[in-house]
Amino acid sequence: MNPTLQEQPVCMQPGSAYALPGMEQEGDDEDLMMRYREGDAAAFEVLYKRHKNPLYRYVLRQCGQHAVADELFQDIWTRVIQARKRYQASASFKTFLFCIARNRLVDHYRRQGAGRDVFALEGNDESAIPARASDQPEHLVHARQQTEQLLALIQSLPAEQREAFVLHQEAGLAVAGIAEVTGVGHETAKSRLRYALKRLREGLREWL
Amino acid sequence: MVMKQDDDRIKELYRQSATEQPPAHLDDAILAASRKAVSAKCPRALSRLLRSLTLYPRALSRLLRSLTLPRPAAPFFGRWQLPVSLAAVLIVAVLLVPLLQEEPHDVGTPGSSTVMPYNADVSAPSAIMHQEVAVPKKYKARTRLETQAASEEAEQKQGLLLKEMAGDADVTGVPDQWLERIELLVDTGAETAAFAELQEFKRRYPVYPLPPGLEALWKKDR
Repeated sequence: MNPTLQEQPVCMQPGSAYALPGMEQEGDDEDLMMRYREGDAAAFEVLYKRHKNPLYRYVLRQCGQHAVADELFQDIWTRVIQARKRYQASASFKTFLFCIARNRLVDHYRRQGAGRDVFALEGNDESAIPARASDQPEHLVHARQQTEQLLALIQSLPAEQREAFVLHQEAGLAVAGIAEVTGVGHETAKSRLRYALKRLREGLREWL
Repeated sequence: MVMKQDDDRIKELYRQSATEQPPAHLDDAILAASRKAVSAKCPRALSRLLRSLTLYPRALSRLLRSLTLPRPAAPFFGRWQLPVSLAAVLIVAVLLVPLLQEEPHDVGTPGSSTVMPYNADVSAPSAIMHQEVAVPKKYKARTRLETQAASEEAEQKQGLLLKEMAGDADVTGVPDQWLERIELLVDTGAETAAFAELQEFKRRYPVYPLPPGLEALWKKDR
Protein backbone atom coordinates (compact mmCIF):
# COMPACT_ATOMS: atom_id res chain seq x y z
CA MET A 1 0.00 0.00 0.00
CA ASN A 2 1.29 3.37 -0.82
CA PRO A 3 2.24 4.91 2.51
CA THR A 4 1.59 8.42 1.35
CA LEU A 5 -1.97 7.80 0.38
CA GLN A 6 -4.68 8.99 2.68
CA GLU A 7 -6.18 5.85 4.07
CA GLN A 8 -8.69 7.50 6.31
CA PRO A 9 -11.94 8.87 5.10
CA VAL A 10 -11.26 12.50 4.67
CA CYS A 11 -12.91 15.76 5.41
CA MET A 12 -13.59 18.37 2.87
CA GLN A 13 -14.15 22.02 2.81
CA PRO A 14 -16.88 22.81 0.38
CA GLY A 15 -17.21 26.12 -1.27
CA SER A 16 -13.97 26.04 -3.15
CA ALA A 17 -13.74 27.28 -6.67
CA TYR A 18 -14.61 24.87 -9.41
CA ALA A 19 -12.77 26.36 -12.21
CA LEU A 20 -13.43 24.52 -15.41
CA PRO A 21 -15.36 26.46 -18.00
CA GLY A 22 -18.74 25.12 -18.93
CA MET A 23 -19.57 23.89 -15.48
CA GLU A 24 -23.00 24.67 -14.15
CA GLN A 25 -23.45 27.73 -12.00
CA GLU A 26 -22.64 27.31 -8.38
CA GLY A 27 -25.67 26.86 -6.24
CA ASP A 28 -27.70 24.96 -8.77
CA ASP A 29 -26.58 21.60 -7.51
CA GLU A 30 -27.21 22.58 -3.95
CA ASP A 31 -30.70 23.84 -4.74
CA LEU A 32 -31.45 20.63 -6.57
CA MET A 33 -30.26 18.53 -3.69
CA MET A 34 -32.37 20.54 -1.29
CA ARG A 35 -35.35 20.09 -3.56
CA TYR A 36 -34.71 16.37 -3.64
CA ARG A 37 -34.46 16.38 0.10
CA GLU A 38 -37.89 17.95 0.16
CA GLY A 39 -39.24 15.13 -1.96
CA ASP A 40 -38.71 16.32 -5.53
CA ALA A 41 -37.51 13.21 -7.36
CA ALA A 42 -37.10 15.12 -10.62
CA ALA A 43 -34.44 17.29 -9.01
CA PHE A 44 -32.38 14.22 -8.25
CA GLU A 45 -32.65 13.11 -11.84
CA VAL A 46 -31.14 16.39 -13.02
CA LEU A 47 -28.34 16.07 -10.48
CA TYR A 48 -27.69 12.50 -11.44
CA LYS A 49 -27.50 13.22 -15.15
CA ARG A 50 -25.19 16.12 -14.50
CA HIS A 51 -22.67 14.20 -12.41
CA LYS A 52 -22.98 10.56 -13.34
CA ASN A 53 -20.34 10.45 -16.06
CA PRO A 54 -17.59 12.38 -14.24
CA LEU A 55 -18.23 10.37 -11.11
CA TYR A 56 -18.22 7.09 -12.97
CA ARG A 57 -14.94 7.90 -14.65
CA TYR A 58 -13.40 9.02 -11.39
CA VAL A 59 -14.29 5.71 -9.79
CA LEU A 60 -13.20 3.75 -12.85
CA ARG A 61 -9.82 5.47 -13.06
CA GLN A 62 -9.20 4.77 -9.41
CA CYS A 63 -10.24 1.13 -9.34
CA GLY A 64 -9.46 0.18 -12.94
CA GLN A 65 -12.20 -2.41 -13.33
CA HIS A 66 -15.61 -1.84 -14.82
CA ALA A 67 -17.31 -4.43 -12.64
CA VAL A 68 -15.96 -2.90 -9.44
CA ALA A 69 -16.66 0.61 -10.70
CA ASP A 70 -20.28 -0.33 -11.43
CA GLU A 71 -20.79 -1.69 -7.97
CA LEU A 72 -19.16 1.25 -6.24
CA PHE A 73 -20.91 3.77 -8.47
CA GLN A 74 -24.31 2.40 -7.55
CA ASP A 75 -23.40 2.28 -3.91
CA ILE A 76 -22.18 5.87 -3.93
CA TRP A 77 -25.47 7.14 -5.33
CA THR A 78 -27.39 5.00 -2.91
CA ARG A 79 -25.53 6.71 -0.12
CA VAL A 80 -26.27 10.11 -1.58
CA ILE A 81 -29.93 9.16 -1.50
CA GLN A 82 -29.66 7.92 2.06
CA ALA A 83 -27.73 10.95 3.21
CA ARG A 84 -30.10 13.50 1.69
CA LYS A 85 -31.70 14.36 5.00
CA ARG A 86 -28.36 15.27 6.45
CA TYR A 87 -27.29 17.34 3.51
CA GLN A 88 -27.00 21.06 4.20
CA ALA A 89 -27.63 23.65 1.52
CA SER A 90 -24.42 25.39 2.37
CA ALA A 91 -22.33 22.36 1.49
CA SER A 92 -21.10 22.03 -2.05
CA PHE A 93 -22.87 19.07 -3.56
CA LYS A 94 -19.97 18.21 -5.80
CA THR A 95 -17.53 18.05 -2.93
CA PHE A 96 -20.07 16.07 -0.93
CA LEU A 97 -20.47 13.61 -3.80
CA PHE A 98 -16.80 13.08 -4.49
CA CYS A 99 -16.03 12.79 -0.81
CA ILE A 100 -18.53 9.95 -0.55
CA ALA A 101 -16.97 8.40 -3.65
CA ARG A 102 -13.50 8.59 -2.20
CA ASN A 103 -14.64 7.20 1.11
CA ARG A 104 -16.24 4.28 -0.66
CA LEU A 105 -13.10 3.59 -2.65
CA VAL A 106 -10.97 3.67 0.47
CA ASP A 107 -13.45 1.50 2.30
CA HIS A 108 -13.69 -0.95 -0.55
CA TYR A 109 -9.96 -1.53 -0.69
CA ARG A 110 -9.68 -1.72 3.05
CA ARG A 111 -12.13 -4.55 3.00
CA GLN A 112 -10.15 -6.20 0.26
CA GLY A 113 -7.20 -6.29 2.60
CA ALA A 114 -4.23 -4.21 3.49
CA GLY A 115 -0.95 -4.36 1.66
CA ARG A 116 -2.25 -3.14 -1.63
CA ASP A 117 -2.08 0.18 -3.28
CA VAL A 118 -5.49 1.50 -2.41
CA PHE A 119 -6.11 3.16 -5.71
CA ALA A 120 -3.91 1.08 -7.92
CA LEU A 121 -5.04 -0.46 -11.15
CA GLU A 122 -5.98 -4.05 -10.64
CA GLY A 123 -5.44 -6.50 -13.45
CA ASN A 124 -6.64 -6.07 -16.96
CA ASP A 125 -10.10 -5.06 -17.81
CA GLU A 126 -11.23 -6.56 -21.08
CA SER A 127 -13.77 -3.87 -21.68
CA ALA A 128 -11.00 -1.31 -21.54
CA ILE A 129 -8.98 -3.02 -24.27
CA PRO A 130 -9.15 -0.87 -27.38
CA ALA A 131 -10.01 -2.06 -30.83
CA ARG A 132 -7.19 -3.25 -33.02
CA ALA A 133 -5.46 -0.38 -34.70
CA SER A 134 -5.22 -2.21 -38.01
CA ASP A 135 -9.00 -2.12 -38.37
CA GLN A 136 -9.14 1.66 -38.43
CA PRO A 137 -8.20 4.49 -40.81
CA GLU A 138 -4.79 6.02 -40.28
CA HIS A 139 -5.88 9.27 -38.68
CA LEU A 140 -8.12 7.39 -36.32
CA VAL A 141 -5.32 5.05 -35.50
CA HIS A 142 -3.17 8.04 -34.68
CA ALA A 143 -5.82 9.58 -32.44
CA ARG A 144 -6.53 6.25 -30.88
CA GLN A 145 -2.90 5.68 -30.09
CA GLN A 146 -2.70 9.08 -28.46
CA THR A 147 -5.69 8.46 -26.25
CA GLU A 148 -4.56 4.95 -25.40
CA GLN A 149 -1.18 6.22 -24.42
CA LEU A 150 -2.65 8.98 -22.34
CA LEU A 151 -4.98 6.63 -20.48
CA ALA A 152 -2.14 4.18 -19.93
CA LEU A 153 0.03 6.97 -18.59
CA ILE A 154 -2.73 8.10 -16.26
CA GLN A 155 -3.08 4.59 -14.90
CA SER A 156 0.65 4.41 -14.38
CA LEU A 157 0.74 7.57 -12.29
CA PRO A 158 1.21 7.25 -8.54
CA ALA A 159 -2.20 6.88 -6.97
CA GLU A 160 -2.39 10.28 -5.36
CA GLN A 161 -1.19 12.06 -8.50
CA ARG A 162 -3.70 10.18 -10.59
CA GLU A 163 -6.41 11.08 -8.16
CA ALA A 164 -5.49 14.75 -8.27
CA PHE A 165 -5.46 14.77 -12.05
CA VAL A 166 -8.77 12.93 -12.40
CA LEU A 167 -10.50 15.09 -9.81
CA HIS A 168 -9.26 18.12 -11.67
CA GLN A 169 -10.43 16.83 -15.01
CA GLU A 170 -13.60 15.00 -14.14
CA ALA A 171 -14.97 16.88 -11.17
CA GLY A 172 -13.64 20.18 -12.38
CA LEU A 173 -12.00 20.76 -9.05
CA ALA A 174 -9.35 23.40 -8.68
CA VAL A 175 -6.43 22.83 -6.33
CA ALA A 176 -8.41 23.95 -3.28
CA GLY A 177 -11.19 21.50 -4.10
CA ILE A 178 -8.75 18.65 -4.63
CA ALA A 179 -7.19 19.44 -1.28
CA GLU A 180 -10.61 19.30 0.37
CA VAL A 181 -11.70 16.04 -1.15
CA THR A 182 -8.40 14.28 -0.53
CA GLY A 183 -7.84 15.76 2.89
CA VAL A 184 -4.42 17.23 2.22
CA GLY A 185 -3.00 20.72 2.30
CA HIS A 186 -3.23 23.13 -0.58
CA GLU A 187 0.44 22.89 -1.44
CA THR A 188 0.38 19.11 -1.39
CA ALA A 189 -2.58 19.00 -3.73
CA LYS A 190 -0.94 21.55 -5.96
CA SER A 191 2.30 19.62 -6.22
CA ARG A 192 0.45 16.35 -6.88
CA LEU A 193 -1.37 17.92 -9.76
CA ARG A 194 1.79 19.54 -11.04
CA TYR A 195 3.77 16.29 -10.91
CA ALA A 196 0.95 14.43 -12.60
CA LEU A 197 0.96 16.89 -15.47
CA LYS A 198 4.74 16.76 -15.64
CA ARG A 199 4.75 12.99 -15.96
CA LEU A 200 2.04 13.10 -18.58
CA ARG A 201 3.96 15.73 -20.53
CA GLU A 202 7.05 13.58 -20.48
CA GLY A 203 5.14 10.49 -21.48
CA LEU A 204 3.38 12.21 -24.33
CA ARG A 205 6.38 14.14 -25.57
CA GLU A 206 6.25 12.63 -29.02
CA TRP A 207 2.63 13.73 -29.49
CA LEU A 208 2.85 17.24 -28.11
CA MET B 1 4.30 29.20 -21.94
CA VAL B 2 5.07 26.04 -23.88
CA MET B 3 4.42 24.04 -20.74
CA LYS B 4 1.01 25.65 -20.34
CA GLN B 5 0.16 24.83 -23.94
CA ASP B 6 1.25 21.24 -23.40
CA ASP B 7 -0.88 20.99 -20.29
CA ASP B 8 -3.86 22.35 -22.16
CA ARG B 9 -3.23 19.84 -24.91
CA ILE B 10 -3.09 17.02 -22.39
CA LYS B 11 -6.34 18.15 -20.81
CA GLU B 12 -7.97 18.41 -24.18
CA LEU B 13 -6.72 14.98 -25.12
CA TYR B 14 -8.05 13.60 -21.88
CA ARG B 15 -11.47 15.11 -22.50
CA GLN B 16 -11.52 13.38 -25.88
CA SER B 17 -10.35 10.11 -24.37
CA ALA B 18 -12.60 9.95 -21.36
CA THR B 19 -15.85 8.69 -22.75
CA GLU B 20 -16.80 5.91 -20.37
CA GLN B 21 -20.30 6.03 -19.01
CA PRO B 22 -22.18 3.97 -16.48
CA PRO B 23 -24.34 1.23 -18.01
CA ALA B 24 -27.97 2.06 -18.61
CA HIS B 25 -29.26 -0.51 -16.16
CA LEU B 26 -27.43 1.32 -13.38
CA ASP B 27 -29.06 4.58 -14.41
CA ASP B 28 -32.44 2.94 -14.18
CA ALA B 29 -31.72 1.28 -10.85
CA ILE B 30 -30.36 4.44 -9.23
CA LEU B 31 -33.15 6.67 -10.47
CA ALA B 32 -35.74 4.15 -9.38
CA ALA B 33 -34.15 4.04 -5.93
CA SER B 34 -34.16 7.82 -5.74
CA ARG B 35 -37.85 7.97 -6.57
CA LYS B 36 -38.70 5.21 -4.16
CA ALA B 37 -36.84 6.92 -1.34
CA VAL B 38 -38.88 10.09 -1.54
CA SER B 39 -42.20 8.50 -2.35
CA ALA B 40 -42.00 6.13 0.61
CA LYS B 41 -42.16 8.90 3.15
CA CYS B 42 -44.85 11.34 4.05
CA PRO B 43 -44.02 14.37 1.92
CA ARG B 44 -42.69 17.22 3.93
CA ALA B 45 -45.22 19.68 2.56
CA LEU B 46 -48.02 17.43 3.76
CA SER B 47 -46.30 17.13 7.08
CA ARG B 48 -46.21 20.91 7.37
CA LEU B 49 -49.87 21.15 6.48
CA LEU B 50 -50.76 18.62 9.13
CA ARG B 51 -48.70 20.44 11.69
CA SER B 52 -50.34 23.75 10.91
CA LEU B 53 -53.73 22.14 11.16
CA THR B 54 -52.95 20.79 14.60
CA LEU B 55 -51.88 24.25 15.63
CA TYR B 56 -55.18 25.65 14.46
CA PRO B 57 -57.83 23.22 15.67
CA ARG B 58 -60.68 25.40 14.49
CA ALA B 59 -59.42 25.28 10.94
CA LEU B 60 -58.95 21.55 11.25
CA SER B 61 -62.43 21.22 12.63
CA ARG B 62 -63.85 23.13 9.67
CA LEU B 63 -61.82 21.06 7.27
CA LEU B 64 -62.94 17.82 8.82
CA ARG B 65 -66.51 18.98 8.90
CA SER B 66 -66.38 19.80 5.24
CA LEU B 67 -64.77 16.46 4.47
CA THR B 68 -66.71 14.17 6.71
CA LEU B 69 -70.10 15.86 6.77
CA PRO B 70 -70.42 17.76 3.58
CA ARG B 71 -74.18 17.95 3.57
CA PRO B 72 -75.80 17.73 6.97
CA ALA B 73 -79.23 17.54 5.48
CA ALA B 74 -80.87 15.25 7.94
CA PRO B 75 -81.69 16.52 11.45
CA PHE B 76 -79.80 13.59 12.92
CA PHE B 77 -76.54 14.82 11.41
CA GLY B 78 -77.33 18.32 12.42
CA ARG B 79 -77.57 17.29 16.05
CA TRP B 80 -74.39 15.22 16.01
CA GLN B 81 -72.35 17.48 13.80
CA LEU B 82 -70.46 19.29 16.57
CA PRO B 83 -69.65 16.33 18.82
CA VAL B 84 -68.60 14.20 15.85
CA SER B 85 -66.36 16.98 14.60
CA LEU B 86 -64.76 17.43 17.98
CA ALA B 87 -64.20 13.71 18.35
CA ALA B 88 -62.69 13.58 14.89
CA VAL B 89 -60.39 16.45 15.76
CA LEU B 90 -59.20 14.60 18.84
CA ILE B 91 -58.67 11.33 17.00
CA VAL B 92 -56.83 12.96 14.14
CA ALA B 93 -54.68 14.97 16.51
CA VAL B 94 -53.73 11.82 18.41
CA LEU B 95 -52.93 10.04 15.18
CA LEU B 96 -50.89 12.94 13.89
CA VAL B 97 -48.54 13.15 16.83
CA PRO B 98 -46.44 10.12 15.84
CA LEU B 99 -46.44 11.26 12.23
CA LEU B 100 -45.04 14.62 13.15
CA GLN B 101 -42.52 13.07 15.45
CA GLU B 102 -41.34 10.89 12.58
CA GLU B 103 -40.66 13.85 10.39
CA PRO B 104 -36.94 13.73 9.67
CA HIS B 105 -34.94 16.17 11.68
CA ASP B 106 -32.24 17.49 9.48
CA VAL B 107 -29.71 18.65 11.92
CA GLY B 108 -28.48 17.81 15.32
CA THR B 109 -30.89 18.92 17.95
CA PRO B 110 -28.99 19.96 21.00
CA GLY B 111 -32.05 20.23 23.13
CA SER B 112 -33.30 16.77 22.40
CA SER B 113 -30.13 14.91 23.00
CA THR B 114 -28.32 16.61 25.78
CA VAL B 115 -29.61 14.24 28.39
CA MET B 116 -26.87 11.88 29.35
CA PRO B 117 -28.40 8.75 30.77
CA TYR B 118 -25.12 6.96 31.21
CA ASN B 119 -21.89 7.88 32.84
CA ALA B 120 -20.02 9.09 29.86
CA ASP B 121 -16.34 9.68 29.87
CA VAL B 122 -16.47 13.15 28.40
CA SER B 123 -12.77 13.60 28.54
CA ALA B 124 -12.11 10.54 26.41
CA PRO B 125 -9.81 11.09 23.46
CA SER B 126 -11.57 12.18 20.34
CA ALA B 127 -8.70 11.51 18.00
CA ILE B 128 -10.71 8.94 16.16
CA MET B 129 -13.33 11.58 15.50
CA HIS B 130 -10.87 13.99 14.05
CA GLN B 131 -9.34 11.37 11.81
CA GLU B 132 -12.40 9.72 10.48
CA VAL B 133 -14.84 12.45 9.66
CA ALA B 134 -16.07 11.98 6.17
CA VAL B 135 -18.09 15.06 5.58
CA PRO B 136 -17.62 18.74 5.02
CA LYS B 137 -15.55 20.61 7.53
CA LYS B 138 -16.27 24.21 6.73
CA TYR B 139 -19.41 25.67 5.31
CA LYS B 140 -20.16 28.98 3.79
CA ALA B 141 -23.59 30.52 3.39
CA ARG B 142 -23.98 30.58 -0.33
CA THR B 143 -27.36 29.61 -1.63
CA ARG B 144 -30.63 31.43 -1.92
CA LEU B 145 -32.34 28.64 -0.07
CA GLU B 146 -30.06 29.00 2.87
CA THR B 147 -30.39 32.75 2.93
CA GLN B 148 -34.16 32.51 2.93
CA ALA B 149 -34.31 29.80 5.49
CA ALA B 150 -31.81 31.23 7.90
CA SER B 151 -33.18 31.74 11.32
CA GLU B 152 -31.46 31.88 14.62
CA GLU B 153 -32.67 28.47 15.67
CA ALA B 154 -31.73 26.88 12.39
CA GLU B 155 -28.29 28.39 12.54
CA GLN B 156 -27.78 27.07 16.04
CA LYS B 157 -28.84 23.63 14.98
CA GLN B 158 -26.74 23.74 11.87
CA GLY B 159 -23.76 24.99 13.79
CA LEU B 160 -23.90 22.03 16.09
CA LEU B 161 -24.27 19.58 13.28
CA LEU B 162 -21.41 21.06 11.35
CA LYS B 163 -19.26 20.94 14.41
CA GLU B 164 -20.16 17.33 14.78
CA MET B 165 -19.50 16.71 11.12
CA ALA B 166 -16.15 18.35 11.31
CA GLY B 167 -15.19 16.49 14.42
CA ASP B 168 -14.77 19.77 16.23
CA ALA B 169 -17.32 18.76 18.81
CA ASP B 170 -16.62 15.88 21.11
CA VAL B 171 -19.93 14.08 20.98
CA THR B 172 -18.69 10.94 22.65
CA GLY B 173 -20.25 12.03 25.90
CA VAL B 174 -23.72 12.24 24.37
CA PRO B 175 -24.79 8.83 23.09
CA ASP B 176 -27.55 10.06 20.78
CA GLN B 177 -25.30 12.58 19.11
CA TRP B 178 -22.54 10.08 18.84
CA LEU B 179 -24.87 7.57 17.20
CA GLU B 180 -26.07 10.23 14.82
CA ARG B 181 -22.50 10.92 13.90
CA ILE B 182 -21.81 7.26 13.28
CA GLU B 183 -24.88 7.07 11.07
CA LEU B 184 -23.52 10.01 9.14
CA LEU B 185 -20.27 8.14 8.54
CA VAL B 186 -22.25 5.16 7.27
CA ASP B 187 -24.31 7.39 5.02
CA THR B 188 -21.24 8.93 3.48
CA GLY B 189 -19.56 5.66 2.69
CA ALA B 190 -17.07 5.43 5.52
CA GLU B 191 -18.33 2.14 6.89
CA THR B 192 -15.03 0.95 8.25
CA ALA B 193 -14.59 4.18 10.14
CA ALA B 194 -18.19 3.96 11.31
CA PHE B 195 -17.64 0.47 12.61
CA ALA B 196 -14.52 1.54 14.47
CA GLU B 197 -16.51 4.25 16.19
CA LEU B 198 -19.34 1.85 16.82
CA GLN B 199 -16.98 -0.52 18.55
CA GLU B 200 -15.79 2.31 20.76
CA PHE B 201 -19.38 3.31 21.40
CA LYS B 202 -20.34 -0.21 22.41
CA ARG B 203 -17.33 -0.39 24.67
CA ARG B 204 -18.45 2.70 26.50
CA TYR B 205 -22.19 2.21 26.32
CA PRO B 206 -22.65 -1.57 26.12
CA VAL B 207 -26.38 -1.59 26.75
CA TYR B 208 -27.38 1.59 24.99
CA PRO B 209 -29.91 0.74 22.25
CA LEU B 210 -28.71 1.19 18.69
CA PRO B 211 -30.85 2.47 15.84
CA PRO B 212 -31.85 -0.33 13.43
CA GLY B 213 -29.28 0.58 10.78
CA LEU B 214 -26.40 0.56 13.20
CA GLU B 215 -27.69 -2.55 14.92
CA ALA B 216 -27.54 -4.31 11.56
CA LEU B 217 -24.00 -3.03 10.94
CA TRP B 218 -22.94 -4.16 14.39
CA LYS B 219 -24.34 -7.65 13.92
CA LYS B 220 -23.05 -7.94 10.38
CA ASP B 221 -19.50 -6.95 11.13
CA ARG B 222 -19.30 -9.01 14.27
